Amino acid sequence: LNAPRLSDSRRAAKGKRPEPHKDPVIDRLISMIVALTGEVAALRQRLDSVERVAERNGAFSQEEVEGFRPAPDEAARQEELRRTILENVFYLVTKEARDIEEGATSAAYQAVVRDIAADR
Amino acid sequence: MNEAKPHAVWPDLALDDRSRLDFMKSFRRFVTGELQPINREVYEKRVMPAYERAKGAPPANKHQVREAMTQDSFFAFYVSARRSGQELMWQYCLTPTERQIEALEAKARDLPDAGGSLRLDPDFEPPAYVASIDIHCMPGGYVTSRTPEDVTAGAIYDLGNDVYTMGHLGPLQDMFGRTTSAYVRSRWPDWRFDRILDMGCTIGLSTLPFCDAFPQAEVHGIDVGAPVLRYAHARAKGLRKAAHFSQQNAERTDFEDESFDLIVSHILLHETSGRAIRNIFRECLRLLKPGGIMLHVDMLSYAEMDAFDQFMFDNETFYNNEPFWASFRGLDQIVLAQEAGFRAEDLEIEHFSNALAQQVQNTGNAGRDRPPPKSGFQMLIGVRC
Repeated sequence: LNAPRLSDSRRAAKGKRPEPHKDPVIDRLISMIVALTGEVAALRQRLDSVERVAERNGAFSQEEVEGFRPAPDEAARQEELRRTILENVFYLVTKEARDIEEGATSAAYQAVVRDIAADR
Repeated sequence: MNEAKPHAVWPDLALDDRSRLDFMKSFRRFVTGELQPINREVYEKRVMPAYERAKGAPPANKHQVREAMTQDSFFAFYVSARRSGQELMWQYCLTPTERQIEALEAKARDLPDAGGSLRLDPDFEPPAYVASIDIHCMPGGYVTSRTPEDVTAGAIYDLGNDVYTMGHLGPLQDMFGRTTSAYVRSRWPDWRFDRILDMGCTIGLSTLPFCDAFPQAEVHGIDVGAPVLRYAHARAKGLRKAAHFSQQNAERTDFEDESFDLIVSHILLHETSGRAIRNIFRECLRLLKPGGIMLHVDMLSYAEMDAFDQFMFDNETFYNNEPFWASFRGLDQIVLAQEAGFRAEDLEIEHFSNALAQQVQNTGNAGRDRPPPKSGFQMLIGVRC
């Protein structure tokens, strides 16, 4: 496998990138979201292709996949998968909620930094 | 791989490569077809009224529209989405091409000859207007050879152009060449076209239709990029077309005076410069036989557009590495061609859509060919007296 390297300058076009937002981070985020959407779309298409190939070869049919009802232990595993995705995607929101709950502030954080620095 | 390839040097694409390219076509349809039109709503309902309140009058020209619109969050989002898609598109094209570059080079070398030729100039200096920044964000541009026999630029241009135009140019992406060649044939049915030149031919997409439309003619294509020309030559061999490609600047070629019956270019002029266009028109005049024809297809002039549309098209210059686009579209090509020596009565501008409609009617392929949406093209036509 020859995976492309982030540092390969030949994969980037010569010419200064525009900065359409006041905060450049927004542009980076949008660029990442577009790329991730592309990967999700490619994955979705691969999965669909797998299902079609399976159907053509008689391994299993589209109806079987559509009609799949998980057994209780399988349902639990699928709930686990959904929870993991939610926790990963909404990590920041839950972290913020926890901070509020615990009364965690930047001042409190800085106080800890100071205390530990002073602990010589 | 059982997918039908349009020609022999088209890169092999794995399922994920194809899926990503499919996604990018859909994404472009979404961005250009659905997000882009919202900008006008945003402008008329939100941006223009605010500008008018602050300044006492609505924006009077494309510069004031830009000043106002670049403050708007929707427009900024649209710019990010479009630009991100453009850059990602080239990554999607590079990934499969880099994986098989040696195989592509071997194929380009080994394909049997089809009567055409390739002439490269190792000392060639590409002009600044293509060398200083990579036009439409294609990494390496037209001129960068990564290896001595490199065809990467040609391959990614081929893949990327199909995605960029969302498939509107047909399987061989030759809609422009098929249309202009049919137009010339029907307009000058009695002229004997012995020698034809396509300037700025890149990978020969628009060049090869002239081999079909004028089988008796010697067809030449010139470009400044070695890797795109290597690919053009290989692609022509694969398609069994006898076209002669050479690495030359259209501003000053090594062809003899009065040696062509027809000189064409397809979306070349806006990627040059004001000085280059004048030189190109002068070179056309020098190369054409008396009575010979020059035909340049390019974007519609801004003369027919309102300030908002001008502003939107200018985005190509601001956000898509098209340095000349914005100023090009303000130029009067008729005046420039006259300055180069053409007579006013021998020059005209024709809407490309007229030629396209005529071709679609003649060949009965209605529904297959249509110009990319949201853009318009025109043809500058000049006859050497």
